[in-house]
Formats: sequence, C-alpha cells, structure tokens
Amino acid sequence: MKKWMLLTAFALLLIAPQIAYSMHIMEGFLPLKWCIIWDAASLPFVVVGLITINKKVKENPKLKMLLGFAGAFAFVLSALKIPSVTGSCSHPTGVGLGAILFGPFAMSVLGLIVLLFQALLLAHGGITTLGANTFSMAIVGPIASYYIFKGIKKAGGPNWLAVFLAASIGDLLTYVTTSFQLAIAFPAEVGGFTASFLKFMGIFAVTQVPLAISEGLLTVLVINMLSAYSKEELIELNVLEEEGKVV
Amino acid sequence: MLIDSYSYTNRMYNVHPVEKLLFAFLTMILCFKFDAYTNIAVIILMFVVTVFKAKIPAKVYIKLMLIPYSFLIISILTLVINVVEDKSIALVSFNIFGITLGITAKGVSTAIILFFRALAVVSCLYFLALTTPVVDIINVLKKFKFPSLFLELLQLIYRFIFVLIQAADDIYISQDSRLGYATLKNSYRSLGFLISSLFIKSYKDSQDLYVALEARGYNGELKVIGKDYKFCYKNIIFIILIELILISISMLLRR
Repeated sequence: MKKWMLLTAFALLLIAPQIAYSMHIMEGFLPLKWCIIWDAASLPFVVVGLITINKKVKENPKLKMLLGFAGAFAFVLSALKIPSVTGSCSHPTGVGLGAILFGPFAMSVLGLIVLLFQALLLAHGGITTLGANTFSMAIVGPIASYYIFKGIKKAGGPNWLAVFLAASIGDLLTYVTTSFQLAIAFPAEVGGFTASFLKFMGIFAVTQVPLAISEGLLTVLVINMLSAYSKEELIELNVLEEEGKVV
Repeated sequence: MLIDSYSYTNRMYNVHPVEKLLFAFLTMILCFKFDAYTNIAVIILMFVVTVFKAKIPAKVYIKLMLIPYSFLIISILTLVINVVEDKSIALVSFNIFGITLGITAKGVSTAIILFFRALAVVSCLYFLALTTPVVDIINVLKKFKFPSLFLELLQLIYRFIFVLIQAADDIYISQDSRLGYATLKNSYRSLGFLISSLFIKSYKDSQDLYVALEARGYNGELKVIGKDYKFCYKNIIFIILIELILISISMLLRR
C-alpha cells in the first residue's frame, strides 16, 4: 500500500507544476447553472469598477491610456515564468502587484479583460467560466491584497512585509476561491461540499503554496525597484487611489 | 501569439463574425444540455470545421487541445477519488491513514460526462479563437451596446499586449544572454528588473500615446473604422441545419 501512495504522490508532483498556469477553471468544466451564478456574482463588482474608472477618466483623460497599459502589463505578467522555490517554473498571477499599483476597483475591470484575452489568445480559462475566474482572480484576490497591504501599512508594519503578505495571501485566497467554486459545483458523494472542498484545497496547495511564496518575493523585489527608479510615477499613479500612498 | 496570427490568416476570416459567434455559442449551449455522445460529436464537428474549412493545421489544433489537459486530469481525479464507507460499492479502493478512499461507478460516469463536455466546449472556444480576430469580436460587442469605456479598454489593452510582449521578449533575451537566469537568485533579480522596467515602459508609453493622440485632436473617443462584413444566407442555413441535426441526434440517443 505504501508503495502505491508514494507512486501517486510522485505522479501528482510531476503533473502538478503544470497546473499552476491553469489555476483558471477550464472552459466547459463548470455546469451551466454555476457559470451563470458566478457571472452574476462578478457583474456588480465590474460595474462598480467601470463607474469608478469612468469618473476618474473624466477628470484625467490620460488615465485611460494608463489603464490600457496596466491591463496589458497584467496580461504579459501572467505569461512570464517565475522560478519557483521548489525548482519548477510557474506563472505569476499579478493579482497582488496590480491591486497595490492600480487599486482593487480598476483591477476588477482589467482582470476581466485580461481573463478574456487569456481565453482568446492563450487558450487559458474560458468564456463560460469567465465569471467564475473573474470572481476569484480579479475580485477576491485583488480586494484581499489591497486591504492586507493597507492594513499592514496602517498598523505601521514595514513596507516589504505589507507587499509580501498582500501578494502571497492574495494569491492563496484566489486558489481557495477556485477550490470553493469547484467544490460547490461538484460536492462529493460522501461528505458533500466540505469533503470536496478539502480535496481540491489539498491538491492545489501542492502548487499554489510555493507559487504564493515565490510571487510574494517577486512582488517585493518589483515594488522595491520601482520605488528606487520611478518614485514620481508611483506617486502620480495614486490618482487612482487618492488616499493610498504606495511608497 | 499563435492563436492571434491564425485568426487573421485562416480561410474563414471573411465570414461574418456574428455567424461564427452564433455557431460557437449555440453549439456550446448544446454541449451543456446533452450528454457524452453529443459532446463527442461536437469535438469531431469542431475539428472538421476548424481544420478542413478554416484550414488551421491539424497539428496546431491538437497541440492547443492538449493545453487544458493537466487541469482536466487533476480536477477529474480529485473529483473521482472519494471517501467510501462501504467497500462493496467501490470499483477500486485503498487505505490511507485509516480512511478508505475509492472510486465508485457513479463517480466514473460523472467524470466521463465532465471530461467530454469540457473538451467539447473547449473545441467551440478554439473554433472561435482561431477563426475570429479579437478586433471583430470587439466590433460585435459594440453592436450589442456594451459600455463604450469597456470596449475602448479592450481595444487599448489588445494593442498594448503586443507592444509589451515584444519589449518583455527583448529584455528577456538580453538578460538571458548575460547569464541573468543562470542561478535562482539571479533569476529573481532579473525578473524583478524585467517587470519593473516593463512597468516604467508601460507608464511612459501611455503618456506618449496620450500626447500623440491629443496632438491629433483627441477628445476622449477613439474612432476606428471596422471591416465591412456581409451576412451569407448559405452559412446561416448551414449553422441552423447543423444545430438541428445535433439536437435531433441527441434527442434520439437519449431514449
């Protein structure tokens, strides 16, 4: 029996690193009912995001171009490979960095667009699961990252810790949400939702915990370099989030 | 960006985008409504249309179909392996930490349905992505009265993705050729530099673009002339026929 277990664990570790890219729920995986429910759940956040952006763009028309580049930046970020602490490669989600730089409301709209392009241009994620993926990667993740970042800064914590925790916990919450979405759509025969949730959490933890740590480290590096080389831009960027000072 | 270049060079480029969207989405809905047989039919149908009508190389199409496999297999395995209380109903069972895990017949049948449905819907997405350029999809969304700010952001982001990928590629090559990714520590540092300079470039480019637009009388609206497409009744009849055939076969097989 033990041999069997080891073999399965080994096989999982072999396939698992590849799943990091596909944290997006794939096209067609969720039943139609849940696709619509998650579409409906994401819609209000995206509408609020659009209204917020619209207001700010009217005050400062330059912002539209900047947001365009911000979205493209998030897309390219997700296509890069980060060396993971476990030795394999994985892809950053950019959730934390985007939320810190552009704020959670802008991220809900930009995230939706990025996910749409990932489906159409890279074949990651999908159209029917767009709502579910938007909810986990463009709403839950960024909102968590943003408030963790601000909370730690307010409590007087060091900048690097705030950035690290914001990025890594934002990442972790994204995967917890995805596990939740899969579990609630496919509850286990015995044990129902809870059993299914724990199963998915367990499987994704193999890849997502190291990824979250790598992404946290990387985001700290990027924010440090940005504050060293382009302080002015970062300060100007705060037009997006008036009260929050990044640097 | 393989998919993007095919979407402009395939043989169905000149077909009206609404027809292609209709075909993809109607078929997707059928995939959800019916079971595995319909889904297998859809997988074959989309392969035939994409490879033989749109002339996308079969190799490319199959390679794309392999992308979601790691997610599909891991998720389905996770779904299928359950805690079983009664060993007799399980097809296979084994003990881990005193808990009996196993696979039941019911679990296998849901897994099979899910497996083929996911692949069928994915092939509909691939048909759409490989034959319809993003610009055309945005133009269709415009006709459906999506908010203009959203559409403009779509247009801008679509354009800038290629600008930034080019820049990221150049930076990566020059870093790599200077051993920037030789060790783990170096890789982190290099990637940090890559991302932060990419960000600075994005910021600067967005400022430059605004200046350039304003110099040409920008008043908050980007106006672009879309390609003029004509509806083809033959195609519409073809789509309706195929969907009807799919529905009737699925209904027959259900009994």
